[in-house]
Order: sequence, then C-alpha cells, then structure tokens
Amino acid sequence: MGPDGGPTILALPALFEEANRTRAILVGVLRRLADAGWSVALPDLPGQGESLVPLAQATLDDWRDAAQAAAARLASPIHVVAVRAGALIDADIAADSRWYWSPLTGAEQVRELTRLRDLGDGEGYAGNVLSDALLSQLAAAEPTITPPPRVVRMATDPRPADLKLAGAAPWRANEPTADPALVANLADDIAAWLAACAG
Amino acid sequence: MKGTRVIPEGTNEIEKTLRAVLADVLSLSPERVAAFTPETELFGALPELDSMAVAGVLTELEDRLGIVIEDDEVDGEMLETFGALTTFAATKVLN
Repeated sequence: MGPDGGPTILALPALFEEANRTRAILVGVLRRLADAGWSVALPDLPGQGESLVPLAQATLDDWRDAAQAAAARLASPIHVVAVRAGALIDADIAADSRWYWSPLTGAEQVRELTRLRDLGDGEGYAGNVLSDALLSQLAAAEPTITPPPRVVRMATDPRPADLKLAGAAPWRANEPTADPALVANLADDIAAWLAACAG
Repeated sequence: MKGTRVIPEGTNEIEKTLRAVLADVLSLSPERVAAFTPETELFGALPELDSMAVAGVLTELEDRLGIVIEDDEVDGEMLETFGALTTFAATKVLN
C-alpha cells in the first residue's frame, strides 16, 4: 500500500483468532496511513493470514525470520506497527521506531490459548493446531523495548500506556468489528508518533 | 433459597464492570446488558456465550478487575446466571 520508497511502515498483525478479529481495523488504519503518503507493508507470517504453511509447523523463530526478511525487502528506515502478540515478532528487525497497540507478553498469549483449549472441545486451540515448540517459545517471549515503543491501549485496560482509547477491544468481540472512530484515532496516533520520530 | 443470595458489599462497581465486559465480548447492546438481573440466565441461554466467548469474558474480567481465575474454578454454576457470575467475581475481588 502507498508509494514505493522509504520510510516504510511494517505492520505485524495479532496472532491466531485475534488476527481475524482485528484485521479489518488494522487494514483500515494502514489504508489511511497509505492515503496520507506513507508506504505500508503488511506481510503474511507462515501459518497465518493467506499463508499456505500449516500453522502446526510454525515456530516463533520462523515468524521472526519472516518478519526480518520482509523488513529487508523494504526501503528503510523501517517503522514497526504491531498489534497484540505482533509485538513479539519484531525482535530481529532493526526498526527506527516501534508502535504497539495493546501488546501482549508471550506468557499472556499462551494463557489465553490454554484457556481456549481447556474450555473448548479439547481439540486444539479454538480450531488451531499449535506445536509444543511454538507454545514454549511464545511463553518466554516479550515485546521488544529498544528503541522504547509507543504503547496504545483501550481505556478499559488498566496496564500502563502512552495513550488510552475509548471503545471495545476488538480482539475480544465475538463478531469482527470496524469501529470507524477507533480506526481514525489509531491512524492519527501513528501519524503523530511517526512525525515526532522523524522530527 | 433463590433470590435471597447474599451479595457481598462493593459489588456495584464489579457488576458495572461485568455488564461492560459482557457487552464488549458478546457484542450485545448496552441497553440489553443493562436489563440483566441476577436471575438472567447466561451460559446455555445466551447463544453468543460460546466457549470461546467464555474465555474472552474470563480473561477480560481478570484484566479489568485485577483478579486471577483458575481453570478449576470455572464451571457451569458460576456462569449460570448474571447473579452467580457477579457473586463469583465479587468474591474474587474482595478476597
């Protein structure tokens, strides 16, 4: 999306079911940024999105490698925009800045997945087959904090953040949502953050 | 005895949080959730509350109320009615 040439926004979506629930909002945000003149990339990770790789074979290292490979093909400088557990994927990218929407620790993601498995029919994680290797890698993963990221969260989330936004958390809603005010607020905050980074 | 269940003090805020969580996770209108009474049946009665939504409700309650819900505490009984879930959450917060 957007023009060729840097700087480039590299977007890393949420993982698993949360990716589906947040995709419309993320795409809406990125489209606004592209319309504002940013060049924007949204790679598919192995086993996620349109990727043909079975999720059961995916590992966290594969995802980090894929994200780094995507970054290597883009014009620098690279600015990371990550949603939820997407903030666990950018560790190997030499980004100029990182902007995280409600980042999760790997341990929190694993706890959510385990709860889904335990409450479900016992088959996989809400329909996903995940390897033990992926789960143990995730459990130890933390969001990257160099350079210090800007963190945006929903107002209902008591964790610390640079900005809190009103609205329902789309990764929890059982129907995909595309709250236009939330899309606009997220895009505006990314644009202001990137302008401050460039300045 | 139904209807005379002891509701711990300080439950108002918790009940408000619970209504907001149910509205957000189950994509229900605030009006509908505002009309919930302690007797309103949840699990098994609300089609929106499938097992995945239960996971979302529990995790969101943990976040917003600062509590930890162990897996072995989750059963049909605490999810049966709005009152039962409120009492469960209140007991967690106050203990």
